[in-house]
Amino acid sequence: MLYSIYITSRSGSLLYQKDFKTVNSPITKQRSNDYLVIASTLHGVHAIASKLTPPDAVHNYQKAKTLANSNRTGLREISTSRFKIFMNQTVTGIKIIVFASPDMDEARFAAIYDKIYEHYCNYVLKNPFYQLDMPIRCQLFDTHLNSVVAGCNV
Amino acid sequence: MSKIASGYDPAVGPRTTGTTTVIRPRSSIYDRNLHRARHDISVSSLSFLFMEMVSMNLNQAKSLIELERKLNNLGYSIGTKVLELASLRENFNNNLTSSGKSNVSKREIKVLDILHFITSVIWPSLFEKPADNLEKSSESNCQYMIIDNAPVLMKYISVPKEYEGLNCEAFVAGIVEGILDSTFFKCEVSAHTVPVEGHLGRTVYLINFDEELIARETQ
Amino acid sequence: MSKQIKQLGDDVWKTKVEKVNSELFTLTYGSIVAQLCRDFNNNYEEVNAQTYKMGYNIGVRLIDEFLQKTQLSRCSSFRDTAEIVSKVGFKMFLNIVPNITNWTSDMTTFSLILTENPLADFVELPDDGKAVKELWYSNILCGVLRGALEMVQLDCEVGFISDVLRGDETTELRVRLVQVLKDEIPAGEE
Repeated sequence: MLYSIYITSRSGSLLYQKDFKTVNSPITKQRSNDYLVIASTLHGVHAIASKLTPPDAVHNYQKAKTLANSNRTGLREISTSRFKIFMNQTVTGIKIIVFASPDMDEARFAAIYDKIYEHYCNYVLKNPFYQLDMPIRCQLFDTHLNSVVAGCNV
Repeated sequence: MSKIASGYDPAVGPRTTGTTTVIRPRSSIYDRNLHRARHDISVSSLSFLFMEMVSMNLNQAKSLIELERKLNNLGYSIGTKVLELASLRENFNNNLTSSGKSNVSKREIKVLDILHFITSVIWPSLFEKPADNLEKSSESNCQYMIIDNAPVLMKYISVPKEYEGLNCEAFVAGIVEGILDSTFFKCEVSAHTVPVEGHLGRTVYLINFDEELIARETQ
Repeated sequence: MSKQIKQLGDDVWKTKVEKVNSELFTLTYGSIVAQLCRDFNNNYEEVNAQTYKMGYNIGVRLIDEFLQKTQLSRCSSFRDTAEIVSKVGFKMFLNIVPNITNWTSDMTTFSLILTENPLADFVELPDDGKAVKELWYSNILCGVLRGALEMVQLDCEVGFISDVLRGDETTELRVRLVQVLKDEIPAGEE
């Protein structure tokens, strides 16, 4: 089950956030300011994880990873008893963060991530009314993310 | 200075004086075949170009009406070229398949014929699909409508609330207007989004012909 | 390496790209350039700057689609960058593969020779004697490259040095790596 999607910019500001109306979602509604804090915190922790990774570990890590050639050393997953947080970063530094049920694994997240990234490329970046690094408000993008979530939550 | 004697030397034959600059002929498009193999590109390239074209004009225009007019103008100049290309090719193909036909270029002179040509020949040449419908207005004799359920150029574009009423397809309306004007069907064309179930981007290109023109036709 | 890159470009083009014939693209660009020539009173320097800027705005966005479709990561050398730009980038967006040539000995500058150019089909430059000397008709391409490379922290200078539209024998585009913007590489992507 997929609960929420966040997208952050290269500098860690929140471009997109949506909690989906998933049955039994453990995610509670936050004040809008708190979403910004969550986003920038995750952005920070991701960077710290990258900094902490010993250089000689990078090689093995690379071998093991299932995601596209990106996010080599940053944070990738956080687990709680009720939900998991997955994140991946594009080579250009955009982060796509997904809150999901504990049964979600990295391989399935990889597929979801790729779909979200593709929709971002199409329905956000090809829209003349969207300005880079600004919050995303594109109706077609919403529609397509909804269908990604629906496909995942059947 | 070289010591080449001037005048013709039969032992050597003709030669240049050595100082003439070589004039490189500029290759001209007129030397090239119009009927060459088609070249495919990614739809994305077209989408990005259209994105930036709208975005640039959006920044320059003072009002949405001005923006639509600019897009319309950009399309218009394309329309005047497109018709000639398409009809040349069409006739060329006809002549290839039915050698009995004459080589005389055919030109549509009836409103319905030219509109049909636009929806069934021009549309595929630009968008890889025919237009979905061609309708005559029930309200006015002078109005016709070309309908596209999912315009290619709008595929990825959501128009935000603050630009409500703006239709970027004014560009394609301009193309249609350019085509019709260049064949002496004087008209104005505007684009309107008229969504139906399953086709949220459905666009109607409303063509308003000059009254005199319609009168001429019904004579 | 070069062979694998070519294979990747061909695969992406075949399996991941929705295609359209180039006609509307060519005509649209022509219409834009004509409009700019009018707006700037045939001041071609201005027109060049404007098409470059348009290209830049496209490049900084198009790079994400490039990365998403190719699943490529950062290049290990500028030589690879050149190969990928030509055999994957140009291939997947314009379905052409420019030749890479004229490397400088320090391997920071190369040329792309465009034997085909979908932007310039059916194009003749204005016959005012000035355009053939001043207008770089396809300058938008330079902007696209500049913008796209900048997003992966390659600070490059890109410009045309010849164009068959001007009567030159080839259409040649020069790319020079100024610096790698190391500090701007996002954490986790190094």
